Amino acid sequence: MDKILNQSAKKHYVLGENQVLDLLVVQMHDADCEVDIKVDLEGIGSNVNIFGIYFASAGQIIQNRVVVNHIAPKCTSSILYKGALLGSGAKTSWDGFVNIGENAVNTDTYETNRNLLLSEGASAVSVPNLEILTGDIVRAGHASATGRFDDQQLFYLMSRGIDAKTAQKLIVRGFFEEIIQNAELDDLEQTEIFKQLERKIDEVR
Amino acid sequence: MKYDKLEVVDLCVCVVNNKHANDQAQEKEILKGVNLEINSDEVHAIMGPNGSGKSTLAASIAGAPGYKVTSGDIILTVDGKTQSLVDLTADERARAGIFLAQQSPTAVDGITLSNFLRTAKTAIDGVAPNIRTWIKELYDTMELLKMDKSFASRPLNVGFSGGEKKRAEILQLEILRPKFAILDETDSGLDVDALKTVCDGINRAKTDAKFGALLITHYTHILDYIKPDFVHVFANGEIVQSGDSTLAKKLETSGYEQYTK
Ligand SMILES: Nc1ncnc2c1ncn2[C@@H]1O[C@H](COP(=O)(O)OP(=O)(O)O)[C@@H](O)[C@H]1O
Ligand SMILES: [Mg+2]
Repeated sequence: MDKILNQSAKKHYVLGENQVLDLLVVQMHDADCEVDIKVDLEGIGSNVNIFGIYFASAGQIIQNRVVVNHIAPKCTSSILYKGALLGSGAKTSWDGFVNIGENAVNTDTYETNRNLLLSEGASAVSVPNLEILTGDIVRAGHASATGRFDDQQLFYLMSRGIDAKTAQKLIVRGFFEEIIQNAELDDLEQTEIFKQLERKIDEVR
Repeated sequence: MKYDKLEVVDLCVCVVNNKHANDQAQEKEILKGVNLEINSDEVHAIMGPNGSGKSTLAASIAGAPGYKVTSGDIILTVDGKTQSLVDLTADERARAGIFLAQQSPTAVDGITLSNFLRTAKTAIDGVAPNIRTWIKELYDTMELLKMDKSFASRPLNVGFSGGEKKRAEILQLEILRPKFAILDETDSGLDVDALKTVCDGINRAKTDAKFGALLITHYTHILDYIKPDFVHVFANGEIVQSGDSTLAKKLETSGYEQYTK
């Protein structure tokens, strides 16, 4: 698994026949950050899986851009990014571009970006794009959703004795769980992500 | 024996509607001087028409967002320690012994019922429950409430039917063992069998924890299962009449109209 951890980056990968790329993007630090990834699936049967986890705190800007070009036939791609936002002026943007070229028959692709707003004053922009130049494909889909952990939900947890920060940590951990599972992160990596997540929530006020 | 006590004193509460951030927050007075005194092991039923402020009273005691106490007090005495709840956060109130079963329990994605309950139990007791006995206690209680085990690993209340949410509330009540339980229309939307199951759960919890209960209801049916020591009629943001369980029977035939004029 290739990793881009807590830093801005611009990467371009070209995959040959049956080549597999697994990529993890983590943005759990406090600096503004911009990660730009481009993958060309040039070889028949190549496969890319990209996972992203990010957490924007007050005033922090996190930008992600993912471009996957399906050029050869029988390639697969899967993109899953999840982000949490907490605090006024926390901003994230996510742009996904999956282009299925005219020779890319039997393509199978899915791109997903989900955001969780933990407070007022945070904003998540999410734009998954899909361009299809051949109809002869297995699947091509995209999903984008921004949810909110609202006052009523926070109250419900608090009304059972759970303090506000613990409640937020539980919810964000649950939200990130899908990535932890699908990206098969080991215990050390999980621990590190959860540590940073707790730090970010503890930091507030 | 020293009794625990929950007192509501001349309580006035506004709902604060700040949907439009730049507008002046809209305030509307809902509770207009409520007085109530509940001792541990007592059951107080509150009955009254829709919109009279019953849920507002429940929410104000539990510390829900969007409600502002403008005057009066909510005072809790537990184990000889007396404190006002008004300035406490909802989690502090819960740890002090308050439990609210919501009229429409909130769904929360991202946390399973069992993880939620274990975290809540740890917060309320101050120590994590014994791992050996915890799962058994959870499953045994679920079985008594006729809840399938699979609910434990589902996201909290997400996709639960109305009746399933009510069972899940009583599951929490049984496990968390509060000092005072406020049950806001726990009976509404339940069929006859489910009502009995849920009421059995409330009675078990009460026998076990000896909590004082505030039972908000529209119907007298629940009072056949859970005998109230006091019945209060609530109308226009205040208690307009109090009596014993015979008052509930009278209301059943006379309705609330006489109180709302
Ligand atoms: N958040 C709110 N914003 C505005 N009005 C509210 C809000 N919550 C409750 N109300 C109003 O307060 C009154 C009492 O509501 P409620 O306490 O739910 O009554 P009940 O539980 O007795 O049916 C109603 O008129 C209702 O419309
Ligand atoms: Mg109500």
